[in-house]
Amino acid sequence: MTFNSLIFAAFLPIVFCLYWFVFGRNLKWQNAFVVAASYVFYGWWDWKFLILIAITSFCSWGSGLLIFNCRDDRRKARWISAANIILNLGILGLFKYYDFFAQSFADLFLGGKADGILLHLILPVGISFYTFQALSYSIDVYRGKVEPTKDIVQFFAYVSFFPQLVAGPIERSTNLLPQFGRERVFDYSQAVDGLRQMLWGYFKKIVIADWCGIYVDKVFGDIPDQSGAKLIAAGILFAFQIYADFSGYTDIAIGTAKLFGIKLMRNFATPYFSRDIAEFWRRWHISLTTWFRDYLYIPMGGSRCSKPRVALNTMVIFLVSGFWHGANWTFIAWGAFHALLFLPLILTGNNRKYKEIVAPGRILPSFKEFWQILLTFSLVTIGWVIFRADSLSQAWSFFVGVCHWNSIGDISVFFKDDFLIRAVWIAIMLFVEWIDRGEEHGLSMSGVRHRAIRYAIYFAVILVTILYFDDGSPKFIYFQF
Amino acid sequence: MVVRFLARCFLAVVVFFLSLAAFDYVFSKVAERSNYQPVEIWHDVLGGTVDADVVALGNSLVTVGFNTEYMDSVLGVRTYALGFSGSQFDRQSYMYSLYRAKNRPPKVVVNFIDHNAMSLTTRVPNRDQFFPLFFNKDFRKVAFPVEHFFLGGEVYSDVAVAWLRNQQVLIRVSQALQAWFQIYHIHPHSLHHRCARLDVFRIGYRGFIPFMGQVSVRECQRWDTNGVCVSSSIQEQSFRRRS
Repeated sequence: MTFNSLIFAAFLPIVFCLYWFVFGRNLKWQNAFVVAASYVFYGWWDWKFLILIAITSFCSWGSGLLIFNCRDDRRKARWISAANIILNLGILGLFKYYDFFAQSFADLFLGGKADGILLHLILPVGISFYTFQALSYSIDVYRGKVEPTKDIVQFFAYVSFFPQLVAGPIERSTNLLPQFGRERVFDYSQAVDGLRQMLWGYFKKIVIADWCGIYVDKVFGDIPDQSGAKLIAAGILFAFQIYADFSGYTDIAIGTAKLFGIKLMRNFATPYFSRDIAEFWRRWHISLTTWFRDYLYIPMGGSRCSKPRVALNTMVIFLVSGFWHGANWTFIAWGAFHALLFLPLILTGNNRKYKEIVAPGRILPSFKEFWQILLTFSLVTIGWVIFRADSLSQAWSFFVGVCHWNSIGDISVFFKDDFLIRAVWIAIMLFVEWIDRGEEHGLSMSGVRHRAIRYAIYFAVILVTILYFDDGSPKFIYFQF
Repeated sequence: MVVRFLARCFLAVVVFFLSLAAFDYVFSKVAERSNYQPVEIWHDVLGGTVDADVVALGNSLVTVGFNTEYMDSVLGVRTYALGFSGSQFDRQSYMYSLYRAKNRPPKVVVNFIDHNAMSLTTRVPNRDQFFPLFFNKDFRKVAFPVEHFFLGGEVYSDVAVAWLRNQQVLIRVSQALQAWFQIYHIHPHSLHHRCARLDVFRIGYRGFIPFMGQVSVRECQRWDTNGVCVSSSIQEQSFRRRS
């Protein structure tokens, strides 16, 4: 089941009513219901893969308890923690990366003949997300940052909570797990804000992402025949497609969780208003970035070591981050590209220059800020082209096509309806997000005091979203990761 | 608190759909008064104002390709293009029977046939042509009693609950907008014979933004593989004359 399906429109109100009216009085039953609803949500796609979630949940829960019981014997605790990590990463590796490595091995040593060694396994939706979430728990228990829970239902609810099960945010046990341990009280204003955030997420997904995707897919499907200008247009649209798709999903997830009295962590903070790459990575996919920072970068020494080591750590973190997205050289190249952009900043100590939101208290950014934002966006967009390409050779042909002098003059592409209409919606999205850039989401309505205006805006957004809605619309991009 | 929240959500949904219904009415009426070709034809047919010796009957082949001014001048008789966009033969026949009932019968009927006209389907493509007429009493009187006339077995013909109807209201708003845009810009069919690369229009929920992208002429020809496309020399002359 996906958020952008009619079945979810029926599923959510039913689960909401049962959650508050039927199971609301007993925490254990309420958590059990969350697990059941989440398993229905996930199993709607393919129930067989529920077994994987159950195994991941059970092993992480059990290892947490075992690690805690061995807290006086660090060596034993380390072994248990390592075993759990190996098991979880083993499952992830088998389903997500085995064929990639097998194919690469065959390319190198078997002349590309990999028929006998490929498994062709279906990649379970969201496996990287829930695996990392489960892993963070056992690592936190090992580090003594969180006490393990004996309540298996509570833990299963933590791993499988349906709004964030398939594409994050990758929650931490320190934030989400305790929320399943205490009684939830319905908060009216939080629920209303949740609906607003959901609406904004749907707008981004349905109106921006899906609509841009049609254009982008067409161009990327036939790169050699496209003019340079059209390739640039597609690159820009993909930058907004992936942002609207993923941040749209996140907004729907966080908004849905709010309806159930659960607060999920923020995953996006207007990343396209960043002034440098370091700021971009503090604002893009925050839950994954901080996950890698806490569980990989800092244990490797982080930035408190020699400069060559810092460079190595940075390179590793970006390559792993790229590889996390999928088993393809394009993702690794994308990670390497960002590492190369990030390295000068961290080596010169400028990586934490912009911590605050751009132009606080001002309507417009300064001239310098504007160009910084534009430059950062351009660099990020180049990275997205590598990310979007099916192969490195396709990415290369894209860049070659863009640089083709004769065709780049075809700027009329930017004034044609199919680009202009999308650009108008993107401009509206950026305008709204700029206005509310200090808020948790674009439709916070913090500055709109009149109820009539607020409702008019809601209705306009709903109308546009429903007009663009198609029950067979594409799935969220990040489901594949 | 939860009950209050649900009650407010329900109220907002009701208000939302009521406003849409009002929008729908306004857009339909505006589009109905326009010179949108399919609407004009229905007005002519139902109004009994056509006085023609030769009637060209068919689907959009006729709407687009049959130039009455040119034919009048060549043949020296009054001609009328009775095109029913996207229609199959049974619907064309129904439209012609309405025409005969309300207007003077013609001396000659030329039926233009392509593979679409011969296909067996209950679906009516190009639904947008009807939406401007949805609040037209005369049109409703002739079209509603015909089973699956509008949406051919889709939601509207089986409407039972209010929100499903309102989903159709939304679609109709979209379609009416699309029709409205096409009136003031360009009709999709007119591009088909003029461009080396054709603009393909998506007619659906996203109706009022018609551009989907481009496909080559060869691609379009591939769609015609399961039927015979009749392209008469008269039509070709007509196209040439138009361009």
